[in-house]
Amino acid sequence: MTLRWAVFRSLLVRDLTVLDKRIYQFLPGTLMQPLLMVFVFSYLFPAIGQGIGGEGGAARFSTLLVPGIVAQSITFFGVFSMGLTLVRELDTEELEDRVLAPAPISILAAEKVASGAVQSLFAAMIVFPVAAFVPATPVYLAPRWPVLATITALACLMSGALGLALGTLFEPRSVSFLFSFVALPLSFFGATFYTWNSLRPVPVVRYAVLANPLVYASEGLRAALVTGVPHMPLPAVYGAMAGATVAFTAVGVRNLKHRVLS
Amino acid sequence: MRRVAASAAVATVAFVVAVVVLHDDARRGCVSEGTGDAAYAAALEPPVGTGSGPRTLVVTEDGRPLSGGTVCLTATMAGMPAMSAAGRARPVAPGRYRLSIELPMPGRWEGTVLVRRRGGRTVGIPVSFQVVRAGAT
Repeated sequence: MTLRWAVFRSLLVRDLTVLDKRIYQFLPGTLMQPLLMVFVFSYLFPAIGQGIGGEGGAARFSTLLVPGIVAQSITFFGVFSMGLTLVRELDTEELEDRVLAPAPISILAAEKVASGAVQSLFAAMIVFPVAAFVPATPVYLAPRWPVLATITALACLMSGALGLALGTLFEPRSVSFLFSFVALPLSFFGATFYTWNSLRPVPVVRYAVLANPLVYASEGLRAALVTGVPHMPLPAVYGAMAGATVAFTAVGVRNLKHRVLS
Repeated sequence: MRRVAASAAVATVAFVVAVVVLHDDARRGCVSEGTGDAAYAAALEPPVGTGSGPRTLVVTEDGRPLSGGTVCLTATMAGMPAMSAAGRARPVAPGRYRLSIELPMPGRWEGTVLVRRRGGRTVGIPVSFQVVRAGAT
């Protein structure tokens, strides 16, 4: 157990050291997506008189958008930053030295999930100052701290696990599918721009999007940050996120074993 | 890992500052949406002048003065959503609430009066009012 923990810790320190060396790529990459989304939807649209939600609803839309962007930043970080790094590492056999560490491959997988989760947390935190100072319309957040802390932690772990699953599933030549068949549906059907409850008039879509893990992160963060807005029941959010984290990790561990041992 | 630690520290401070700013706005104004209820009506007592002077909000339920609950107003200027104001009102008499919000420009303003009842239900009442230049009334 002690040896496994030492291996896990060493691998995590290694990943953070690599992050330290490429921090000047990491920071703009992390900041760009939330900055652009908040700028376009909450500053540019209202400033040119096309605020989403109409005159009185622009502030409401901005308020609902922020938790969605936090969720999307967390999830996309796992998919792109962690998943794509893993695709490259597996392709170039860069992982070989770490696979030879005196611990099961599942420890390497767990470290990848933890590393992705830590970096996703950073991506989540960066959204808040963007939301506080960029929008032209007011944003009203009323955090429920215990819910915010637990949902964010779970969303970051889920993102890391999703990155592990996708990174071990895709190969460099099929990475374009990651964008078109994973990232885009995740984004547009992830309850980022609307609440899940507001899909009530379109029941087919309302239930189809339940397959999207981003929906639970968005709804959970909306419950944690905005009061008075209908959201999914929190037990369902926690349950779905925990289940997705376990499922993605299991898929990732199985694929990682297959890829590095074959 | 100094740069990672420094970036994490800066992000944490920025996060805390942002949450304080956003939470403070939420306390001053009215968070989120309320459900519509035709039994409720609200209006700002005219004339509504520019500036931050105290304003009187009249709220009724079933035609009778509202009593109890938390009342706040969020409004934006018609055609200029970037121009917004929000504030929480305090009761001064049954159905009458006093609030101080900055209305910087004359013109048509639209918004919502949110009434949060004790049971947790929030009612959203759409309001529209004309702001005139202070001193012109």
